[in-house]
Amino acid sequence: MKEKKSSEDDPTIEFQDYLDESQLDAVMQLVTKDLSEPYSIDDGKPIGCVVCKIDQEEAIQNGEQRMMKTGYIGMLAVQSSYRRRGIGKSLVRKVLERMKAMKCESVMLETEMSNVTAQKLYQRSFGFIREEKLVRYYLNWGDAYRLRLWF
Amino acid sequence: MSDTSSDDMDEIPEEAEKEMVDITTILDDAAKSLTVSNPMLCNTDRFNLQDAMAALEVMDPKMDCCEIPISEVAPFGVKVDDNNDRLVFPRPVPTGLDDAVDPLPWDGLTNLDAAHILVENMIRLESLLGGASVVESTYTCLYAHKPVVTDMKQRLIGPVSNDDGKEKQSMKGTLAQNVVYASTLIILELTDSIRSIILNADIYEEEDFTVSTYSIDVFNDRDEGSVVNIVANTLEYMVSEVDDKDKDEVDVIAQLLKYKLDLLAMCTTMARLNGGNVRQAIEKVQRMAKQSLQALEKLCPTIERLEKRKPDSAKTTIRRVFDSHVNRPLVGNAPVRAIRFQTLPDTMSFFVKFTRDLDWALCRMLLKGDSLDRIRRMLFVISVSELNILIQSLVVLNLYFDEKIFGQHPLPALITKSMQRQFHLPDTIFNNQYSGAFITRMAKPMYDILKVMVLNRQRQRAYIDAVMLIDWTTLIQEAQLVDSALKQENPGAAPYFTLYALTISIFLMDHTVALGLELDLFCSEYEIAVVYWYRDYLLSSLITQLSTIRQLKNAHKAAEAQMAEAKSKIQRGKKKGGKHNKKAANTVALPTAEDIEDDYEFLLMNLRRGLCRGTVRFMAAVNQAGLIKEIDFEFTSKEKIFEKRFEAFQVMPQPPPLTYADYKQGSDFSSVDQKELLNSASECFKTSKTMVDKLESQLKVIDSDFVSASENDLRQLAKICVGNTIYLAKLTQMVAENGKSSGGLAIDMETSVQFCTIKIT
Repeated sequence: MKEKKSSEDDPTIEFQDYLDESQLDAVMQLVTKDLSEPYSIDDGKPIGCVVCKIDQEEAIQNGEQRMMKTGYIGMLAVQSSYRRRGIGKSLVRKVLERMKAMKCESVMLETEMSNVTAQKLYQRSFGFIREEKLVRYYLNWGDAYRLRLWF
Repeated sequence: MSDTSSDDMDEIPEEAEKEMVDITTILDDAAKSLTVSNPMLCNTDRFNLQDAMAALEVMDPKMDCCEIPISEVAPFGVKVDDNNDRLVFPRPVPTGLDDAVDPLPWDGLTNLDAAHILVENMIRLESLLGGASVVESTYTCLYAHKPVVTDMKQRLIGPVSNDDGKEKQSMKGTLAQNVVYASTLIILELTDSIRSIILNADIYEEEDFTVSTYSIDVFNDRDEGSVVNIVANTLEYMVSEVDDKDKDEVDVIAQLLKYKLDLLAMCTTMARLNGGNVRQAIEKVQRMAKQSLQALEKLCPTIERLEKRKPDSAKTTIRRVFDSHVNRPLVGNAPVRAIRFQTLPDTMSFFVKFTRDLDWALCRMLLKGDSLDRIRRMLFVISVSELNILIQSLVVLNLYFDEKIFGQHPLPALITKSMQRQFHLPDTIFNNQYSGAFITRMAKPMYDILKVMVLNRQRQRAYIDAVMLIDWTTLIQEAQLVDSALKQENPGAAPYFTLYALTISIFLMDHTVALGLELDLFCSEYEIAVVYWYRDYLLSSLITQLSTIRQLKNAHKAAEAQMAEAKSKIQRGKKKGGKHNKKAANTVALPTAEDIEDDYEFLLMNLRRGLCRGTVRFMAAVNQAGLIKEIDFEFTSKEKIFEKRFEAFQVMPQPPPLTYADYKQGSDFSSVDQKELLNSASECFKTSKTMVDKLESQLKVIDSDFVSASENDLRQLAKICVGNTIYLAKLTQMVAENGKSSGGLAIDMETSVQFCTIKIT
């Protein structure tokens, strides 16, 4: 499935779903270089990407255990020269729309405590809340917050 | 991203199944063809993260060569410029002191080298206690590897001689060599001991402790007794044979060996307490901790001096003896956490704090914790003190053994005493079969409360929310049944057990909200207003329950005093000497030390509620002044956030759970005059400041070990009161003209862990 849409900020930017492994090299280049951000196309060249998945998660509600569908955003990367144009925000919005449509009850992600920009994006723009503090979560010993958005 | 539902994700499509080919043989052959000179199975130009992830699945150790930049392992003094910083394999584990790759310093070892090696070992020990694996801490010292220790032992240990019936090994080699050998052994012994304590206590988190030893080959030809003997003999040898004892390096060697010896003794003693000798053993460890602390504090400047004068020869030795990457192949091909060591001053500060914590957080609590409420308060203070995982583990190991708290106090008896004291109840209440059974039933959940305080803050919160609140809901229901049974026997009886269980459950609810604040989980203006509003509600409920308990206590005390007075009158009527009896009757009403501690905690709760209330009103005033921009979220709502934030409280019968609609109604100050609202907020902080002053004055008559807010905590709360009062005054000035402010807003959580200063900029 190929979906062609233009962002409000920049009509030249095209958002594309992941197709197959032929795109992996480009994705890997992005996340290797600009790790912490995802995936759009400019003149056929990828400038950002978002990597996510859906899991079944155990939840306790009113003392009862049950399973629920939870979205997870693993990586969001935008090439540094294309930042501050709302591309990251558009990518997250698209993912949230898709996850909501797929009946997820919430979406989770982790962000470095020091990454104030990312936290602002998730918390202020989308209503993610800090659910948990993860001490020494990253390989560089950095702390993180687990953020969650409840649909 | 696929459009298929997640239920289908794990299933392999039938067509794909048909196309699958077993490539094990191909990979095996390819792996066998690898050589040391050309160990790559794939084309390096195209080997990226994606390939690496695939390689992980293959699980062939040769897939990851664990290469490291040459600059990381270059000898001291050899500089590698960025252009030549090529990747090389880590050095192999040494085969002995005369290792073919790079022999370890031995024949020419000086006392100065030995002192620096001991200091460096402290840095590696700190790393182990800080959560690094053994292969990234202890075993980054090449002397610690089995072939090297075996070699050292063969070279140094001569035949055993028996002088005066005491086993003593003859000393061969130089002092420096013996010091290095003794230090290596004690570090190995400490490593095993620390790991065993932490594993037994089983409260560690991933960030605190690495379980895996990565199958490192350990030198096991030792036991605690023999290691202690070797270190003690080395110390003895230093005392008798070394002439220049005044030299810094000799002092450092002696003090660090002694510290490690004492640390081992303290850890092993505290891990093996048993019924027969508990208090004596703890007292001994406490004395040892105090002495060690004194010695460490005295040693710090000496070590600093030694480090400043570190010659190049010692730097070269350290570079040859310690290799952070030597065990890299053992860690495997998964991405590894960066190896980090603290600086020397930070390492010494760590051990100073660690030793101090061994005294006050462990020994003092075990010796002084004589009632349930005191133990709870001490544990509460400990829980915010960021104890090292080893001390946390020792606290947990000693929390309950020999079927007693701290191996000294049966838990049902502690609960009974706590209730008796809080309500001033007679024994008869507890002699009832229902109450006796309920007290026994309460023991495990009560133990859980004590234990949860020792866990990391995040884990405390998760455990209370997911497990403990549900347990206490059931307990409250059972308590109501016990109270009904008691009421049938004694119609005048109040619902003592229900009140007691309710108080504890609300305390837990408040604690979990406070933990969220401490962890900085509430950060937006909206969430700050909501969380303090809910906490005000919880604290108000708690204060109401406690007030009822205090009233019952006073009534019981008054009744008891009346009875004593009546008895005294009868006795006065019978014989002379009434003055003495009257004095005895008055003594009943005097508050005990624990009563004063209760009063302190009660006032502290009132102070916290005052600060919550002030913050909610301040936020409302800020909102009224137009400083908060209303945000509506595209994918969620404030109702949903509220519901999820306090979802764990839905199961609790008391206080009834609140909804977002309750919040909107309860925090709606739109009909309140702006000036009045600002004054009311300001009044809350001024009243709170008065309470802080009163608490400070009470501190003079209370044992500081039994209070849940120290002088320093009170100072922080005073700053919150004053800071908010000042910013409220500023806001009042800003809105004087037209009711609106064009200033900015910042919420500062730095001054106090649980309360904020709302800054108007």
